[in-house]
Amino acid sequence: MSPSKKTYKRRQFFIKKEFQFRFILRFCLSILFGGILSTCLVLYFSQGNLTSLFSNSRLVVTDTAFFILPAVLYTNLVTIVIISLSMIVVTLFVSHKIAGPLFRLEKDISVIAEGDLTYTVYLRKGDQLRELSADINLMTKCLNNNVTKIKADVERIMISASNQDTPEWFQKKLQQLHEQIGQNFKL
Amino acid sequence: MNRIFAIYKAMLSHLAGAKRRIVQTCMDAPKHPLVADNMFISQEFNFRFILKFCAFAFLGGLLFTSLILIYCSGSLTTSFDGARLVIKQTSLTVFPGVLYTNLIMLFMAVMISILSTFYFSYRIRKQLFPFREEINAIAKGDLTRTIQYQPHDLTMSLAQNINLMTSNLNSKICEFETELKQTIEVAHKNVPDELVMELIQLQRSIKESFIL
Repeated sequence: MSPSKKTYKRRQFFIKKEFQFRFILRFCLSILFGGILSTCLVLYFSQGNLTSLFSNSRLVVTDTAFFILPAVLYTNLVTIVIISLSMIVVTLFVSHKIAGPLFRLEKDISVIAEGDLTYTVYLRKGDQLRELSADINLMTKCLNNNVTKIKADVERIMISASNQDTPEWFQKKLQQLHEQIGQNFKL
Repeated sequence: MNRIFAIYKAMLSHLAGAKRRIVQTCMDAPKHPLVADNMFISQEFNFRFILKFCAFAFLGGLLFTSLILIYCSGSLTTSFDGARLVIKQTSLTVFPGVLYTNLIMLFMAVMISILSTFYFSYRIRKQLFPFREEINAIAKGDLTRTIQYQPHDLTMSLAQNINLMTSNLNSKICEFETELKQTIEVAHKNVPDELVMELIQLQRSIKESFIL
């Protein structure tokens, strides 16, 4: 793993689009629901009162609930828009702490699938799913140990074959086996 | 902040203990996603999210209250308190109602955020639990494993990639083993027995290290 990969920063925050969109949508919907509920509650609590005010020089007397309805609607609209926008940013970052490492692990697994058994998964500060990345690192290490052992055995047999009087084809075959491991795995 | 988190953690561990007692009676407890609270998504992460959500709900409430009170200033409201007619500023009359509303909304925000983070982390744990088992099996050399997944799962591509990795590594090792087998078959004729035995030993150790 090169040091440049360790310091790599994610710039793309909307990675797992479907998951993150649903995550954000749910919380925004709960804010919308909260707004509607609070409108109903405020109107309910202000029932049974009359409000008087001067509209130009005319005295207007109306039901308080009816009088404050436009105000409640406007304020709720403003509140919902402001809070929803802030929540979108927050939930985007929060969901990214899960979607990001998941995406990272997918890419890392593809690298390991190519036979790179030296690969180590690095997660960023605050990223979740740490147990999974630790398991994957342990897996790579174990597989690496096993394949390294096979390679070392082949090398050992190659040396004893070259020390003894063995046919040339056999030595070539051993060489081929050794190369095959080298080509297929990065150890 | 740290004290609130400590209280939250104590509350969670209490809940986890109760859950463990229930689940232990019928399931393989340590492996069950319902019990392993802190796996994959940490408690601190959940706690911070709950705090943020509630802080936004509180800010929303504050904004809502101040805007309503500003709008209502400059008008008078009449109401009956028993048989007495009370005339007050509208903002003062509606203030208790707005306050109750805010309290109810804040309580709901706390409940929604706690329940949704619990449910969400439970779902992630449920999806990722089999992965740990499979990856540990692969680490032990079992390259025949495949992870089952549901379409549209969040972890679908990860499962697909892990399955692809297992089959790739399996075919690489298989290819090597086949070559080794062929070499052993031909080597019997004119290669010293000692070397053939070593090759057979190597073949055995591959079989011991990997399940193909």
